[in-house]
Amino acid sequence: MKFLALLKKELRECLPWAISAAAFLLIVGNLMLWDMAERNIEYQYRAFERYSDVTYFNLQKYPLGSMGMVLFMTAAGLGLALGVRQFWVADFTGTWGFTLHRSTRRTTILAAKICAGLISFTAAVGLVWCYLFWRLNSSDYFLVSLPRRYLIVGWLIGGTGLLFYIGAGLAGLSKAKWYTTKLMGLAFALWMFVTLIQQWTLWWGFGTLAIAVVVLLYLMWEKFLNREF
Amino acid sequence: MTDTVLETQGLTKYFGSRMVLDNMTVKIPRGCICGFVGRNGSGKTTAIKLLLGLLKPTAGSSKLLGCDSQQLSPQIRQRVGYVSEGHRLIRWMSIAEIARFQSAFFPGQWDGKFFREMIEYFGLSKKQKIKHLSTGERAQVSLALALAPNPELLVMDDPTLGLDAAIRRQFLEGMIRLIMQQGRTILFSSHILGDVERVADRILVIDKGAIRVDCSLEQFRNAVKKVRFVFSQPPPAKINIEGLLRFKTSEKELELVLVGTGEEKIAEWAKSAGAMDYQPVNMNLEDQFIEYTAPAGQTKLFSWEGI
Repeated sequence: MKFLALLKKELRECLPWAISAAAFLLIVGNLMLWDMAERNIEYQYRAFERYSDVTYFNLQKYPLGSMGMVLFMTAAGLGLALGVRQFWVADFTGTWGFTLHRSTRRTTILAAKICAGLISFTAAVGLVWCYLFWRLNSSDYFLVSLPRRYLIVGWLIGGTGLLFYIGAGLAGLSKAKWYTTKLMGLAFALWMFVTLIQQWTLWWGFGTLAIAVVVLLYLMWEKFLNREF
Repeated sequence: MTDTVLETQGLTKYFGSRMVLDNMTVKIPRGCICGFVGRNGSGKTTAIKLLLGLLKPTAGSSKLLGCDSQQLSPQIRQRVGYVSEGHRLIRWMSIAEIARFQSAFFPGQWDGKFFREMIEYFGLSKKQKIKHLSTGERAQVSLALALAPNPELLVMDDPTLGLDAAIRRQFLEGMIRLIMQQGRTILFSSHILGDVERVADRILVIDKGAIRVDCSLEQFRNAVKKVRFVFSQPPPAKINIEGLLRFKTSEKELELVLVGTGEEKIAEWAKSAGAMDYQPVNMNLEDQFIEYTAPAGQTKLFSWEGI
């Protein structure tokens, strides 16, 4: 009941950003599909079926590279926006006191925030990417179907947005001056992102992402529980 | 059930090298309506945030309903209402939405009928968005939200700040509704001494982070006095009377601000100093507070000679 109330509040606060990101990805993604069809790019895809080494890093070599860039920009942008909305704005509006003086533990409040962030993220980036992938594979555009690996690479690209989400949240929770350690969370997220794109296999990429997310979440949990508001 | 609802022991807080709260030790018993007064920046908000566990003390400790402020359990928080400074509420919610949100944290305790009545009493509609409310209306919603769960302890940080006289009166009447219920305890900080005088039965005066007064309102009212002495000659240069806080002399008059000085002592001193007559000067709580907390040697804010 208490968690649900918090989750609903957080989801409502994330909603405008999630809708904006999903709309952007849908519109730009569909335009790109239309453009690919117009340029008769299908012949390139015929060769895809034998490629199995597509990873985050070498995605640019493939015709879907530009789509990957749009996906990354949307995910990173949404991550930053949600991090700022959930963890910075309350400092400016002075609502931390109202939010935290609840008959529940701080961990529950943080869990509701993170869950709302993840749900918004999954809906706006993960599901929209699934939809775009389905469109790519539908006969409206191309006769050949893309390897499923592309879908997974898309999730990995979208998943990097989580680093920016938690990084921005961590920076928001930090009370240090911006020119000292305030942006350390974001810097760490960026560093992990650079490490991530250097992974040569897809599963190493997912492994790196998972480790980075766990480390950042732990730092955020520590900060949220011990911070003065 | 503990009889001390709120307790601090040597509570001290530094922000960097700046001391904001200095060794605050107080005990507030159940059923007390405590006015917490102090000048701007004297440490009221910091003390309240420390009590609610929103800040960590540099030294000392505090307890709320018998539980350490740094470890307040959800069960304890459920018994404590809090109205934050500036009535900072979630702006995108409507009054109905914020009531629904708040009620989720007080299962079996939330009095929806009381909330509706208060909102109607304040002339507000449940459909109104918080962001469209004035400061006074937000204050009213804050109070209704804090009172509807029927808290054992209500902590309010300058709740009447920025409200006009009519809204302040409505707000105080809302507070009085809670006070009328037995066993409720209220701690409220305020700049408006008239409000404190109207509802409080105990006063805490904080000055530069230190608690200067912790007694019943009546005791404070009786303790701080201003007496005007009339002399036939210039008043004495040296004044030696117990409880002297400050003095002001004119040609043949002397005004003393005294703390805790008995009538007999004043009469005795008047006789020994050769005063022709003396009269107590009427002071309201605000005058007493200003006299009591004015920095030593500060008699006027501006010096016309310097302009």
